[in-house]
Amino acid sequence: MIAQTQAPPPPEQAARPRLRERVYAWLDERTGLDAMLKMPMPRSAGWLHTLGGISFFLLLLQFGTGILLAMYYRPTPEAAYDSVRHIGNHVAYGWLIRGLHHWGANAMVLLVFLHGVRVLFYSAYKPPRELNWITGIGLMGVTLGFSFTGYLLPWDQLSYWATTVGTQLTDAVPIIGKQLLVILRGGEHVGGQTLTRFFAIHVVVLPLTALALLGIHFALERRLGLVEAPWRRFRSRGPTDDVAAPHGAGGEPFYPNHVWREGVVFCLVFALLLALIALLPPQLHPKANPAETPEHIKPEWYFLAAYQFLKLFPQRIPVLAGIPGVNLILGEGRFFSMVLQGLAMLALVLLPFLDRSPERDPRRRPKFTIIAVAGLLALLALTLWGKYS
Amino acid sequence: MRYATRRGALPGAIALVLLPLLSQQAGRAAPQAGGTCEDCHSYMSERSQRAVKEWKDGIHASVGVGCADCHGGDPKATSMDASMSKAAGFIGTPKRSAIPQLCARCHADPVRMRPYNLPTSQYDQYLTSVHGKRLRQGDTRVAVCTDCHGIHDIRRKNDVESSVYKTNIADTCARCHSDAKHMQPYGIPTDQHEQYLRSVHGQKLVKERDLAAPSCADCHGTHGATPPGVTEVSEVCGRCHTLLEQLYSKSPHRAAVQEHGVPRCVDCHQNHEIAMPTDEKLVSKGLGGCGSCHDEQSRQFAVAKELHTAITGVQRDQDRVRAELQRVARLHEDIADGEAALANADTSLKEARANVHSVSVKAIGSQIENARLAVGKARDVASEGFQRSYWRRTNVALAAFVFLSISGLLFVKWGALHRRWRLRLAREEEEE
Repeated sequence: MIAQTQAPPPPEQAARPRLRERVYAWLDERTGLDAMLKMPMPRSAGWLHTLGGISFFLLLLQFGTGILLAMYYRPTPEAAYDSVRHIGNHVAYGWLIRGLHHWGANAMVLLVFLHGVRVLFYSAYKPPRELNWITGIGLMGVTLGFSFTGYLLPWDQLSYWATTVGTQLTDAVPIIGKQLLVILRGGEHVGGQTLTRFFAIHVVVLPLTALALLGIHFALERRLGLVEAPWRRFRSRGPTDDVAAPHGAGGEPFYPNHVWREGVVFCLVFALLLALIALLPPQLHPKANPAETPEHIKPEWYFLAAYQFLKLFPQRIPVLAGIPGVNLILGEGRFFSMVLQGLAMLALVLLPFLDRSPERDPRRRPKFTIIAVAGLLALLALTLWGKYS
Repeated sequence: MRYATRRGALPGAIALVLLPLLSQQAGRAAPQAGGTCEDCHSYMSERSQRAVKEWKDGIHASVGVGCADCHGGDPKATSMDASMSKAAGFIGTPKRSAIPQLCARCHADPVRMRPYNLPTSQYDQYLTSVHGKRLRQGDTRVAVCTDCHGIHDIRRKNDVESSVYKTNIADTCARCHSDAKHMQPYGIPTDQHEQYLRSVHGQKLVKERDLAAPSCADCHGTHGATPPGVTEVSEVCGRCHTLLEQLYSKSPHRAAVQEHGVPRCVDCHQNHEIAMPTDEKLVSKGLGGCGSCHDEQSRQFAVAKELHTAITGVQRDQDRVRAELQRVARLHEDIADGEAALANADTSLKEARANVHSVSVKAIGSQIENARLAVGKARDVASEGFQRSYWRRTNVALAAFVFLSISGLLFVKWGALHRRWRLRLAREEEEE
C-alpha cells in the first residue's frame, strides 16, 4: 500500500551525479584529468617506477620545510648560526622541521640518483625521450646545487670550511679562475656576501629552475609515456629495439594502482626520515671561525667521489706540465681532474646522441652494460675511498 | 806592497773592475760597507769567509755598517797594507773590555740611531748591570755585547734566528750561566736553565712558542741585567701578573714581608722552576704550601683547608657536569648554553684562585658561590638536554612507527587493487 502511494523518483533526478563526480567532471572537461589519471602504466612498471615520484614528493617536502625554516633563518654571518640554533631549540617543532629538511635533502640526492640509474638501465633515454633524459640530468644537477648551497647556511665550522674548500676549486681554472672565485664567493674569501648569494640561489634561483625543469620533465613524460622494460618477458608486447613504441597496453592504471604504490613507498621513506631524525638529529658544529681551520675537512657523502677523484692527481701533472702550451692549462692537477669530470658529465648529458644503437636490453649490449656498471662501481669505490681516506 | 807592483798592472785593473761587479752579482748587501775587506776576505780562510757570510746575513750589512766601522782601517784602499794600516785606524779584533764602548759609539748616539728608531740607553744600562760593573773592575769573563748578540751575525731581535729572539734568550744566557766552569769563580748555581725549561714559563715560551711567556730578560732585565732584590720581587712578577700583584699588595702577607721578609712570590712559587699552581698548595705542608708557614692547628690553616674544600668541591662538580654535557652532545643535542655556563664557572674559579693572593675569605667565598651557581645552570642545561632528547626520540620514533603502519595498510590496499587488476588481465587474455 505504501509502495503504491509513493511515486517513484523521476529518472533524471536518480541519475544526477553527486557533487564530487560533478567537480571531477568539471575539472576533467578543462584539464583532461581523467585521461591523465587512468593512463595505463607499462606492464613492467613496478616498485622501481616509484623512485621518480618519491623524488618529486621529497622536493615538495623540501619546499614545505624550507619555507618554514626561512621564516626564522637570518642569512648574515652574525645571525645565521644563532638563528639555526634558535630554530632547533626554541621554535615549536623547529628541530623536527630542520631534521626533515636535512635528511630529506640527503634522501632526495639518493633517490634522484637511483631514479637516474633505473632510467639508464631501462635505456629510457633513447629516442624520443632524449629531452626527458637531459632535463633529468639537469634536475640531478639542481639537486646537488641545492645541497651545496644549503650546506653553508647553518654557518658552522664544517659548513664554512667545506664551502671554502669547495669554492676554492674554481681558482684552479686557468686565466679566469680568480675572477670566477670572486664571483662565486662575492669576494676573496667566504664571508657575508657568499652567505647571502648562496641563500638567494638556494631559495629563489634553484627552486625556480627545478620547477621549470620539472614542468618540462612531467609534460614530456605524460606525452611520451613510460618506456616498457627491455627484458625478455615483456618482449611479447614489442621488440626490445622498438624504442619509440608506447608503453604496452595492459599495464596497471596510474590511478589508483600506481598512486597507492607511491603512497606505500612515500610513507616508508617518511618513516625512515623520522627514524633518522630520532637516531641522528642534524648536528650544529661550533660557529664558523675563519681564523681556525679544522683538521679534517671532507664534503658530504654525495660529493666524496668528486673530492677523492680530485685528490688522485698531483698538483702538477709531470707529463702534461712538460708540454709547452698544454702545461699552462692542463698541467695543474686539480683543473685537469675537473676537466675529466666535466667531460664525463657532458658524455652523460649527450648519452642519447652518443649511444645510437636501437637495442635496449642490457644483456644484448654488453659494451654499454660493462661501462655503466664499471662507472657505478668506480663511483661507489671513490665514495668509500674518500670516506675512509 | 801594491797588487799592481807585485803582480802587474793588468790583473789589478781587471780586479778593480770585476770585483765590484762580482759583489753585485752575489746579490744583496752594500759593497760600499764591505769595501775591499769583503773582496779579499770572501776568498780567504774558511773563518774569514764565514765572518763575511755572517755579516752579510746580519742586520749591519743591510744598513751599510761595514767591517771598518768596528775594526777600523780603510775599506776603499786597494792594497792590504793600506786598508789595514794603523794610520787608517785599523784595530783588528777589538779587545773584550773595549767592545761595549765600541758598540756604544753608534748605539749610544741618538743622531745615528734615530733612523732605526732604536733606544740609545743600552750602554748606560749595561754599566749599571752586574756584567758591566764587573767588566769595569777588569773581569773580562763577564758578558759583553757580542756574547749575547753575536759577533758578525748580529740580527734584529725580532728575527727568529737571532740569539736574542725571545724564544732563544734562555739558551743564549745558558751558554755562560749553565757552564759550571765559567760560573765557578762567582759561586752561583748553574741549574737555572734546566729549572726554567721545566717551569710553566719555559714550557709556554720554549715548547709552545707562546711569546707572552717570560724569558730570563723579562725578570732580570736586558742590558741592565741584575737579579731582582727582595722587595722588588713582587713588582717584577707583577709587571705581568698585575691583578695578582694588586691583590697581594693589599693582603696581610705583604705586611708580613715588610716585617719578616716572607712570604714573597718566590717563597710560594719558586723562582726559576715555577710550576703551575694547584689547589693542593692550600693544604700542603711542603715547599710553598700554606702549611709550610702556618701551623696545622692555626686559624689561618683551618681557613685555607675550608677554601680548599670549597674550591675543589666546585671543581669536581664542574668536571662531572662537563662529562654530562659531553654525553648530551653525543645525543646531538645543543649544549652551547651549558658550555657558556661552564666557561663562566671557569672564570669565577680562576678569580677565586687569584683571590687567594688577597687572603680575603669574603671575596673568595663570593667567587666560589658564583662558580657554584654557574655549574648549577650548566647542570640544568645537561638535564634538559637529556629530557629533550628522550622526548624527541620517543615521539619521533612513535611517529615513524605510525607512518610505517600506514605504509603497511597502503600496501594491503595496493595488494587488493593489484590482485583485481591481475584477475581482469587474466580474464581479458582468456577472452582473447
